[in-house]
Amino acid sequence: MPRKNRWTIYHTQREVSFNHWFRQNGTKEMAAALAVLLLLLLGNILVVLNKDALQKKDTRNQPPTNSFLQWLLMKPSLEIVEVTQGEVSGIDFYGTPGASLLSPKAAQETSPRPRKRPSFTAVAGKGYSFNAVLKNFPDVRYALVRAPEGMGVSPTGQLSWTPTAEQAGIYKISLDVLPFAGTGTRLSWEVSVSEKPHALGTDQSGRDILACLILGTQWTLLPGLIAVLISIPLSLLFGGMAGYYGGMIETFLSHGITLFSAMPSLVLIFLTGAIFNFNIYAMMAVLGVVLFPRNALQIKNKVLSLKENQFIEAARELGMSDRRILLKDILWHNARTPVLSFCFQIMAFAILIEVTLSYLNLGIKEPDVSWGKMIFDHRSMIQEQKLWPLFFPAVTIFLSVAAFYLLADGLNKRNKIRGV
Amino acid sequence: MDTNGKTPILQVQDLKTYYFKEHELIRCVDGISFEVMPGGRMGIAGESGSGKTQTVLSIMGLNESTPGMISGEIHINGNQITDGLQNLSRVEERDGHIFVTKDVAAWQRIYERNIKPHRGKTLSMVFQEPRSSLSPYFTIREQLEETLSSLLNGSRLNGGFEQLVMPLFERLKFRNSKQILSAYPHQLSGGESQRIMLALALLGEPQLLIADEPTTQLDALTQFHVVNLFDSILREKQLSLLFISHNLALVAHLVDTVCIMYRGRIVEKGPAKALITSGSGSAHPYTRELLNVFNGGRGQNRNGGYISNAGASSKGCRYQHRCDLKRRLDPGLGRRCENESPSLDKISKDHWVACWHKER
Amino acid sequence: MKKIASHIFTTVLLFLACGVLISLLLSLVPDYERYELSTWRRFLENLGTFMTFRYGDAVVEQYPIFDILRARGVKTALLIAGALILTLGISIPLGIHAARHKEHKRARFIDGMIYGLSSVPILVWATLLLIFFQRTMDVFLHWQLLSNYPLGWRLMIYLLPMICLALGDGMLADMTRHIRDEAVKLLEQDFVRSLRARNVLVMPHLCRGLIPTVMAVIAGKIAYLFGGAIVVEYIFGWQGLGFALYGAVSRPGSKDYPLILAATMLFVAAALLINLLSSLSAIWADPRLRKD
Repeated sequence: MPRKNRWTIYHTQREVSFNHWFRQNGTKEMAAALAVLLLLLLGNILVVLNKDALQKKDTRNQPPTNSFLQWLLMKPSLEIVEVTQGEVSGIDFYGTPGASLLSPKAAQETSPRPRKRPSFTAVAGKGYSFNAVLKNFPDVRYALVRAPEGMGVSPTGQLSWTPTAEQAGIYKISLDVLPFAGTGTRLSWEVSVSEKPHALGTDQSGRDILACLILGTQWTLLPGLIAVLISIPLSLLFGGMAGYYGGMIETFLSHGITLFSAMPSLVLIFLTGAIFNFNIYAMMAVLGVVLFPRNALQIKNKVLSLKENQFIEAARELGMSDRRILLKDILWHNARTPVLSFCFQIMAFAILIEVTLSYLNLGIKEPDVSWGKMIFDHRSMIQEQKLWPLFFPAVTIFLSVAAFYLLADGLNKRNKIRGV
Repeated sequence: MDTNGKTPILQVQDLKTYYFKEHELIRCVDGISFEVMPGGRMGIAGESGSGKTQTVLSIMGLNESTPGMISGEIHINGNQITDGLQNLSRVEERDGHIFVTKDVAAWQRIYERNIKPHRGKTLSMVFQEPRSSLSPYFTIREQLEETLSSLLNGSRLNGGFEQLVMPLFERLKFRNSKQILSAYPHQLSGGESQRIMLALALLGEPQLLIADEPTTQLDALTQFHVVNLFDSILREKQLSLLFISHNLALVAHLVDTVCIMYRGRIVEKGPAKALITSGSGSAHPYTRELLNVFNGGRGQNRNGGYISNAGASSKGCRYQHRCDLKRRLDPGLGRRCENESPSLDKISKDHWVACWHKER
Repeated sequence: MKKIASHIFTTVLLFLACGVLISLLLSLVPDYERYELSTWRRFLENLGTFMTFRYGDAVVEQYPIFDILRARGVKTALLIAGALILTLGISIPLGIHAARHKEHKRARFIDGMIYGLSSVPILVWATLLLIFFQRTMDVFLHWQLLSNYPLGWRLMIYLLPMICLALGDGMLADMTRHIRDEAVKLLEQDFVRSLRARNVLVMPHLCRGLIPTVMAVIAGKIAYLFGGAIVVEYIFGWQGLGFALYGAVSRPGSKDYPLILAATMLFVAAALLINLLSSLSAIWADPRLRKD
């Protein structure tokens, strides 16, 4: 049997080839995008069903519970400070001498270093524990300098605590790790206790971030739909008339189209916002108006190219004198193919505009939550290095916009392949 | 293979160009061999889709989309252009299966490197649609200058334009050269554009001119003038010619030897005048069909004359479905046509035919 | 010649039409401090200001408007020019490369990357970049805070907003895609084959053919670029015209109408100018369009 190496070997029977990677119809990407859309729809349904539960507030600014996320999105959260023995006084010492092997590098460290980081979140009613497995200095004593009520450390360094429901909040913990000789180490960190576990953390008013993400989905589909409902009929009307009737109407309409495409869209939206007191639905309607030129142009070109076709003349000869029927013929059967793709592009753009407006504090306002608003509220958190309320909305924005664009492009590709 | 001891300018041996298209193998060029002597003129004739254009494009290294496979040996003036490429492509047929091994990207890369010095200088080409073969963005003068400077390896022309180009222009019989020079290609007529293409091709003083259906797009009168121009220039400069056309009369008028191609294979090769003008000279049924149509008869309506599905099964003679001769033969004899693909056999001094029943 | 004149004429006409429209919109904005003036009266007032160019002083800052426009407009122009240069510099080589090797796996990779890039909104880019810089270099990049820092950081603060504008919301992606599509179409033409048959460089012809497409994409996106400039100026504290516009619009109470009018019309004029340039350059680049 022929081997496959640098050479591509084709075993052909009746001359068949296996050039699979020439295929480019993008179905995989479209499937992924549809999955994301379904998730958005699910989010919308959840919001409708469960809005109050999603808006419950808990401890503010609690980080995510997963330790990898904590490492990624917080910095530096564990403070390690060297303490000399003289500073420590008036505290009971516990310790068990022992011996173990140390790596040469670890043996050179002058004070104890932990190998693990503690978790920065705790849930009321569930145990919280931390054991600083040390890189060096196996014989040490542990002392709790500062701790919330109910926390204790065992002689082997096992820190344990079960917070009660009333203990929700942020606590600072300081644990001293002291070898029998030499300088010790003080580990300080903050633990945020909440009543319920929050997988992605909470934002600065205490809402669960996952709940906020779900709440934000309500602004992804509906405003986009409004923009679409305004934009598509407008562009069909203008583009169809411009393409079909030609002459004066066409020049007039295409100049109108140029006019709209020259006006900075954001400025128009600002002004409309100012008029309507920044109601998001009104701004979406204006967005629809702002976006219709591009699609109108495409439709106009399509209609122009179809006008030359024989079947139009045939239809006219058949007595379809009513121009409107003819328009339906052309528009409905032939020019409608790019319309669906353009719908998705408009919806993607609507999400972007909503995010931008919220970021400028001109969009969604309290008590509603949207992804853009989350980014706006927490933009000062960059300095404090608490990145989780910024990261997750950014990811969801990216995913949903990407999904819409992928769908639009996939549809475009399929139309191109089918030669429409 | 030199006859009379002279090295042929272009010698092609067993050229194959296959394309893969949606699970089908299309054998555009399937084992073509021919040669063009210095001063000689070779024609390639056949219907549309027979692979004529692909042959010369493969020779010049100008295939547009990457082929599935190219193989063959090409010699220019005795130098083997396909040196080192023999192992990169191989086609074997065993037990009815076809094994194609290839590394086309490497083949094309190396071949491009080898043929680049010859393009424009030893071999130059004139294309089918003259008006769209000229770049629409620059004037004629600028395009001529561009070609000249690339021929001189990018060094600047110091006023040499006039000396080098104007005599050519005179020779090509343009009516008002100044106007043409400052015009854009879309402002010229078909005949003028074709002559500009000829001028561009001749700038490098090539030894072989390849003409791919240069007159097909022109009207009859312009065709006549252009063909005469070709003839006189070729004679004057003693250039060889490789002429591709589906117009048999033109081929007979211009060339010495003609290859008739059908679906990627040469089915007959021989002296043009004997084959075409005197109808009895042709031995292959396809040639006879072509001549029949040309002289006002009707061809075989078997397949309705549709462009051959070049990828269909490869068993037996490729012409069998349209072959008038096979239809008239006994089934026993016809079986040989179905099972074995005929090879190109020599039946007289300059005449090769690929048919099992050429005697009839 | 006639075509050029008609283009210029329509541009001027469109500018005036825009002016009327914006004046109308402005007069519709509810103004609670000057409620005694009717909408129609305010419309006429705005129109008058627009037509006669007597903008006077901005309400907020009490500077003559033209001075404000000049000082800040230069900064915004710098931002947008930089973003355009970045975009073109990346997308032209990328697009041509993808067109040439459209059958390789690399082309699909570039395709996928383009999709990825086109989905990231500007402000998300900006946020991500800010985060990245904060974490790695512990510097909070805000324009005013950096005025005393050495040149290296200042260059970074110049560069970052341009990168955001160039990459955000599909500017780079659309441009690369259009260039690639157009280059593929061009390379399939006959003249490319005859150029290669003579060993002539195809690149000058290709570039000449791409100019109309590039200019068309820029003209199509310029209005959007201005919007993006507003956002970027806000995030990075860039003292440009967009930021002034945003401030003027989001003021509580009476908005700064002369400034809004002036700044918007400047944007509109720039966009229309670029549209004009694009159609003129298309005519220059492709002699076939010079039918007259």
